[in-house]
Amino acid sequence: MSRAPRDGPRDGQSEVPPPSSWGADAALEELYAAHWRSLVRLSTLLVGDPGTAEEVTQDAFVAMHGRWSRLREPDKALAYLRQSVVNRSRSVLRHRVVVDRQARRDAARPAPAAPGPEDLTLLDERRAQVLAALARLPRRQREVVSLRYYLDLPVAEVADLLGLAPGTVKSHASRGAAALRDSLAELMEHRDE
Amino acid sequence: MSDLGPRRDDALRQLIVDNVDSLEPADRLARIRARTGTAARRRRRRTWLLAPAAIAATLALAAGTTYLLASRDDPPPVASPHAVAQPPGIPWRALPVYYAGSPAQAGGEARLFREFRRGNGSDVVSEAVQAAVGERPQDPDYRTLWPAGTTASARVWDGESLRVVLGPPAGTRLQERPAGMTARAARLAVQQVVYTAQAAHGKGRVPVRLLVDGAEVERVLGVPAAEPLLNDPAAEVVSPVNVTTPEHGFVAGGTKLHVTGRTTEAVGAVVVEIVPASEPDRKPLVARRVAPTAGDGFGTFSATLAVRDLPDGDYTVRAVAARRPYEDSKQFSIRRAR
Repeated sequence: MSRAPRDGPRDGQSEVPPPSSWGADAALEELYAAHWRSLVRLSTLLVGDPGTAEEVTQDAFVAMHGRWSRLREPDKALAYLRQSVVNRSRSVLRHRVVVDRQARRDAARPAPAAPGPEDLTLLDERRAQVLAALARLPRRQREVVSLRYYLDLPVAEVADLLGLAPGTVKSHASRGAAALRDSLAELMEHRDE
Repeated sequence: MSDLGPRRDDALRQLIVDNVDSLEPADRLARIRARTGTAARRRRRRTWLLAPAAIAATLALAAGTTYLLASRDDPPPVASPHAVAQPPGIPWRALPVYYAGSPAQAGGEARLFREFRRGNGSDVVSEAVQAAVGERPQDPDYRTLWPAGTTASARVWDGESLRVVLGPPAGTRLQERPAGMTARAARLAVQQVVYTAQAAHGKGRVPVRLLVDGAEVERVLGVPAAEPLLNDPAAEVVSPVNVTTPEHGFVAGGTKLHVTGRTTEAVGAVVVEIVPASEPDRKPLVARRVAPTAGDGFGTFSATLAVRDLPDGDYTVRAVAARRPYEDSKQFSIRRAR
């Protein structure tokens, strides 16, 4: 069997031979193939629902395509995509807060449609618990934990991406992780391993 | 995170990764292209793309596409969401192709396994049935049951059913069962084509009419084929456990291996485990037990295994039904840069 050597961030799923000659379209396709899923999942951790996360990530890819002439390198483009996903996820949440406040004033608005428990598989249920626990964290902690724990980014890169000092990243990470361990204690005890 | 115990840290990390990695986002490449004014790009790096491992890897990577397609041939027929999934001009797509596995994988009985391969997208059903009868699968445990040299192409008939035209190898007619082929193998060979054509067509379990050299025939490989054929029930012909990703020859470079697959009927829990390729019988290095989510006839499972402690090398990842002798495995390697 023949094998091509591959390496990349996050479960080694990136396999992008980086020709410097990429145009914006080529970059879009290659980065989409390699990172669409993980970026949608990152955004899901931040905004709490996959549908919104797809919208957010789609916008980030469109923006990256528009900026390609300034990015020009896959690494820079990926950093841009990540930052764009984090920032856009943040705006969605801000927007939601405004909408909710309005809704409370209106008072007539029905509760957001949540699936009934009978619609949830066990997996969905567990995921909902994880996402709810993340949603309860302060924003910075949620962002740091998602980037560190899900994307596996080193402290320095997270610091760069969020514009924070490395020490601040570490303290957000440890507080966020402690809070999550607390609220997800039950799930962690019932893990299969 | 220096101030935390690394093991507690790993457990939390795994919990987050498992729960979010089981989400399969929809494929939005077409929408993004529409917004950027990007025409679907013809791939240029032919040599890179033609290497089988690269194809496998690309299929694993082309996330949305692969997973969208991966769910396409699941029964029952649904009002085809996939009809819009493939706008014209997309240069390639994943083809679902069914092959026979070794009897050891399914309690002593040969069954059909699905693997995805790369097609050029011009005529997916023809490409897929040709691969099923005439091309070697990527997974060395699989094989085609058709006589060497058989060819196949397909076309849609009446918009409702499929016609698959088989081309016999020189000197044969393909209508009688060849000497040495069991009746079970002949039936399974026919089902290889039926399942593949239905899956690639993506419009549910449509009838498939088999022709030989363009002519209607009474039998194909001795199996009655005067009427359009439907698929046999999955429980009778499809392997109860089928690994979808990683594909054979996948090269992992990171700290985790994401494994997905499919089960039929009530297989129950599946154990996903990694063993060294050279010592398949030793105690698994990593194992996880997962419960497939139920679907209509098929279930799907996914597991993320931590491979950060495994040295670079060749491994086998195996999915085994917890209570029955059904399994599927893929060889993969870990190669870390630097």
